[in-house]
Amino acid sequence: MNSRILVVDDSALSRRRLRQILEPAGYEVAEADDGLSALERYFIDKPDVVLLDLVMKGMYGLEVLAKLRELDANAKVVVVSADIQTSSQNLAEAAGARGFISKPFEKADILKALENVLTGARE
Amino acid sequence: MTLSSNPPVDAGRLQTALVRWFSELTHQGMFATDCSMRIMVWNRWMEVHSGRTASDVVGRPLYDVCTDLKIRGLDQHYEDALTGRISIISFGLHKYLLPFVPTNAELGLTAMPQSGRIGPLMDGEAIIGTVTTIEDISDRLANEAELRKQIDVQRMARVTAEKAMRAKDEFLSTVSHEMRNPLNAVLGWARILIERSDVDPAVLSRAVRAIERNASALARIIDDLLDVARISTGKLRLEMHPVDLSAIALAAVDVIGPSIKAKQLELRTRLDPKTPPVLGDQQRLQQVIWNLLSNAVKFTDPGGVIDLTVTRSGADARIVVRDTGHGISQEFLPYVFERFRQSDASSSRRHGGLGLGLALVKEVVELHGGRVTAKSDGEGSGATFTIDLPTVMSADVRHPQAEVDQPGSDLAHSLAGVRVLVIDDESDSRELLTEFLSKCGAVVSTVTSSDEALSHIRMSPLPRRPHVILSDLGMPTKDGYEFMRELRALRTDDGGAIPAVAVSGYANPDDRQRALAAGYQTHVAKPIDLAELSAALARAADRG
Amino acid sequence: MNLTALQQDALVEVINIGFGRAAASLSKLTGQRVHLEVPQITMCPLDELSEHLRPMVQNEVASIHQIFSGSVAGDALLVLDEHSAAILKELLTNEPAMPLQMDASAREVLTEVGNILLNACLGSFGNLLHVQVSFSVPHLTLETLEGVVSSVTVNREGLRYALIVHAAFRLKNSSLTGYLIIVLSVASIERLIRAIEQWEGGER
Repeated sequence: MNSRILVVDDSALSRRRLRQILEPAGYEVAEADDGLSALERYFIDKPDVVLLDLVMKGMYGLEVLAKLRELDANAKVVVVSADIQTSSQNLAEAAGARGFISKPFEKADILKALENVLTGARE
Repeated sequence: MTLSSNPPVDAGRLQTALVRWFSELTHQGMFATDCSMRIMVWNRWMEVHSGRTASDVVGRPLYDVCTDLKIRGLDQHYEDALTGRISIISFGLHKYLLPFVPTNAELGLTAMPQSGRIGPLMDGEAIIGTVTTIEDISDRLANEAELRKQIDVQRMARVTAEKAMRAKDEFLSTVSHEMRNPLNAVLGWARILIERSDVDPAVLSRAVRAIERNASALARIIDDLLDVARISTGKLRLEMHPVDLSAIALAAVDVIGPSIKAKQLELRTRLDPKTPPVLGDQQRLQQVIWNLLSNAVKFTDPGGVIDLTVTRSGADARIVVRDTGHGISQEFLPYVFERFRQSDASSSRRHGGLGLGLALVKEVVELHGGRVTAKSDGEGSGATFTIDLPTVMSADVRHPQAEVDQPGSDLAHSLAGVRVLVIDDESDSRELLTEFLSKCGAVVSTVTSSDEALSHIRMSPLPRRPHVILSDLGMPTKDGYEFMRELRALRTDDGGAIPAVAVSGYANPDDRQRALAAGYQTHVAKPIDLAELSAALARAADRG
Repeated sequence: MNLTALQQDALVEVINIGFGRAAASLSKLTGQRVHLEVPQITMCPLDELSEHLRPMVQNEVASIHQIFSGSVAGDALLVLDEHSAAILKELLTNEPAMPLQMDASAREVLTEVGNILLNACLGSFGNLLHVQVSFSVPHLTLETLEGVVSSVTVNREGLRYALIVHAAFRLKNSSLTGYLIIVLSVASIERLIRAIEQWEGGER
């Protein structure tokens, strides 16, 4: 079965670009454009990995991350964000993110990060 | 050096010469690198402040010469410059670009404060290197610090003024509140008396007593207000005499007694009879003790204890009022003697009063050359007020006027048994002189005019005749000169030879001459130095 | 000329990336975390710029102005109202604010911050377009909004557009807002939009 990825980003452009990278690589993609619908989708789609933006309207990405991990301690989240402050990376890591990719992202970085998380999960 | 007119100088060389001219002239540091970050230009300012000559550094990698740049992450700005970006290196965020010795030690900085720019060197569209400029902003910082200080001073002044304004507003509302209560009682009873045609004698007596009591309360409030006004304009006059603190403490206890009983408090007094007298205004000092006691009564709950102690403390006399009452919070303690201040606005409602008592205490005590302190271990643990006053025994009389006003001191000459006739048209002067001379032991008679004086002398039998006359010069109708001429015209048996001292406000040599010519033995100028006066009188009386 | 929703979305993302970089630089400089918010953008013909800004900025403003050139060329400004400028300076340097007119050091700090923000944003455009954009030295001025607007409108020929970016961020629990204004010729805008559309399709 193909791994399922939930892409959480308020930018349609980013979501489309991620889909263009993920689908050819054999992933199933679900999307959410804000924090609340991300939480909702997470429990409907039960994705294997969440790619999460930080700078979003309403619920900030770090909050979404905390909520997700609170509701599912095994949630695997990779942050994909333009907020590249060291403090943001540290906060994301402390909240349980499995990876941090800065925008603008490269196709190879995305795929490698997903692979790491997914193989790490199987071990 | 030769002027080369031939061949013509090309623009590039001219430009290079021009750049060198400006880079040596400028008051800024300037250096340039090529794209591989080798130093190409290093101007005079850089030589002076880095201590390294251009010949020493040109051609070497910038990061080798200025190792600090990489350590502080400033190399990023050179990377940016090589992509066409300009960086501002502000003092506010970086303090300096390169660690140079400060040029102004007063700023207290470890490195010269700098403002820098890093940018690309462009040759048309192409980036051919980087250029850095550095400015020493020591002077600017000093100016800004000065400005900031001035702004702070102004801000503080404004805050203080606003605070004073607020305190005054609060005070006014407290005063109105405090005055309205007794005033309402007075008006209320007065209206009852007006409206009722036949008033029961019991009611009448109650009404009159209530009116009297409340009017007195009003009078006391007004007295306090006037005292504060007098003190703040420097018009409070103290009548200085040797005062026995134990005696006035007892008098204050008498006054406060009923309220202590009414509130079921215990008052313990320890009045050391060996406490030396202080030089002061008896009425004011009594008011001080009364204020402290009434403050203690106000803030101590029933069952509490108030201690009043009067003792000697070194050369000073000490008054201590200690209570077991509410105490004073550490925050309020520094303000406890400030005028119009009460620990909170609501406490004036709970405890009544104007918040003036302690301010008056402090000011009166300080006018006496003494000091007052308040101590409290915080709210709920009582308060202790301590007053130290210089005594007549004090070696150092702290109050400067005390020396002058103090009749009992060595400075004043004894006039024991000397009969003095004082002639002065002003009652204040007469009283002052009488008071003082009596303290020196003189027997004083006073008259208000020259004619009165002449008839007093003529009519006194010899044993009652004054030994010496003290006369004012400036008097209406018959002045002091004319008086003296008439006196000296009398026969010796009639008193014509009684020695006399002139007093006048015109302290010029002419006055003195005229007074002596008129027949006075000596002349004392106003304002009167009492030591000088008593000495003059003693001398004059000896002669006579 | 109007931006489609897709173009608008793409532009926001590009600017977001620029702000992210600026925030990283600022936080490295000050040791403070900068909380970023999603920027809002509007585009209008240059002669309508002051109508658009007037409801949002009053009185005197501090503006940091920079001219950029390259295949996309124009003016870039960061506009802060006086209050935000004073707070920003205070937050960054921990020094009490003093009127900006008197405080050259504060003006310099604001110039540096403006420069970082403008460079990050325009740098994002540059990266996107794979072109080099070069910048003039930034200048800070304190003047009325009208003065700022007229400084970018006078002596400019041809139809120009202003991209207004409403930037909001939080620093030490203080909310600050500023306006980033990028003035571009029609040709530059078209180049920019085309680049964004290509960016979406292609890979970098």
